[in-house]
Amino acid sequence: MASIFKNVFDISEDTDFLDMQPSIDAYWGKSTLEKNFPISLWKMKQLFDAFPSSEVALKVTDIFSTTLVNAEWIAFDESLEGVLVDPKVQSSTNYYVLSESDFTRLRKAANDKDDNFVLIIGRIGKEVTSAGTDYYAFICTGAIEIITPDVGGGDGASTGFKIPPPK
Amino acid sequence: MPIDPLVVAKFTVIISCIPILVALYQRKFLNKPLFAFLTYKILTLLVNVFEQFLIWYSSKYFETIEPYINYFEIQDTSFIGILFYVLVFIFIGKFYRILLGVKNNGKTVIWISYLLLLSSLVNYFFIEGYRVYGKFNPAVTAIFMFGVPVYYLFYLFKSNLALPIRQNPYFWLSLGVILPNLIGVFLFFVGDVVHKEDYQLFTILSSFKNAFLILGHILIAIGFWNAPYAKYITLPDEK
Repeated sequence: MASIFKNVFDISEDTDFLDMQPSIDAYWGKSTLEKNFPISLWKMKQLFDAFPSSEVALKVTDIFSTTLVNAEWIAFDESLEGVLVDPKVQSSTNYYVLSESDFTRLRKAANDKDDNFVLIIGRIGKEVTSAGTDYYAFICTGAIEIITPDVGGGDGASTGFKIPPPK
Repeated sequence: MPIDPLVVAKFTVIISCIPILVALYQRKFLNKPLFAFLTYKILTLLVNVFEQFLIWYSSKYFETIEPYINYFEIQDTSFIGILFYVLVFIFIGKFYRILLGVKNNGKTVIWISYLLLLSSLVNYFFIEGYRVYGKFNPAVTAIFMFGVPVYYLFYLFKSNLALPIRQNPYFWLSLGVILPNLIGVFLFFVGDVVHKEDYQLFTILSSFKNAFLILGHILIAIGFWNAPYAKYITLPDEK
């Protein structure tokens, strides 16, 4: 049986936003090891339009292992819920469902960006308590930045180069 | 096959040693402005070497500097860029103040350079910050390093030249300063448009900057080679 999560906690304050990082670091062990799961805004809109229920889900498989974990964005049809409750179906899969109204709210966070460059990013975190381990999916907005060569004055031959350099 | 930008940067740093070596060879002929220019080139080389060392060190022993990198939230070597701008405004400003003299707005040049130095520092610490390559500092540096030498050449060609221009060290040094900044200024003003309209042209123009930087070093080396002729040029404040 797959797990379906439809409860959305609204994170809109900067301080709340920073609060998610420890949970993400706790899951991946180190911030540099994090894998995230982006989708472009236009593709997300297509997924919302796919079914009348207008829901999209981040389908996360093998969330219990940072090595095996994978996630993809899918159009979520309400009729799927009936199938997913079957214990024999997708036992290690979590569906984090985003409604269109939550998506509209999320988009407002990136309303200063060009729509074609906006990304919706899925991030995974966990929290270990005495009661057990809770796994979360954080759905955030981001933007593609086209990296262009730096121009201007000065005699710096390698100013702006990444450290450490890419291998 | 695309050329690794890091290799181009190393090559540029190596080429930048040529004018310094030529200047050291001609050291007994160096007067006050030429000495200011040589100081600029040596300090710039040291910062470039430090930058290269940091890139190399981070590739080998990143774990030893990682806490500091994380603490200051640094992702690249942009935070070093301010050192280049400071050197430009101090030494290139001083170089042209001496060449232009009080009568030909030399004082204005030095005041502009101090003002830009202050603006760059404020921008570095409080506005764009030290984590980004930024727009303001590279742009004003390019405009300064293009505008002031052009103004000096304008003054030079207006005055009676007692010495053939090809033997004038200040002419070659100015040309060496103008050339790499010409493309920098051009891309600053039209870069966004070119980038949108013709990305291939934009990358070609950007790579020209490195070629012009190397060519600039060669012109500066020619300038230092002509240092013995500097004694035949009377500076405005010496008249």
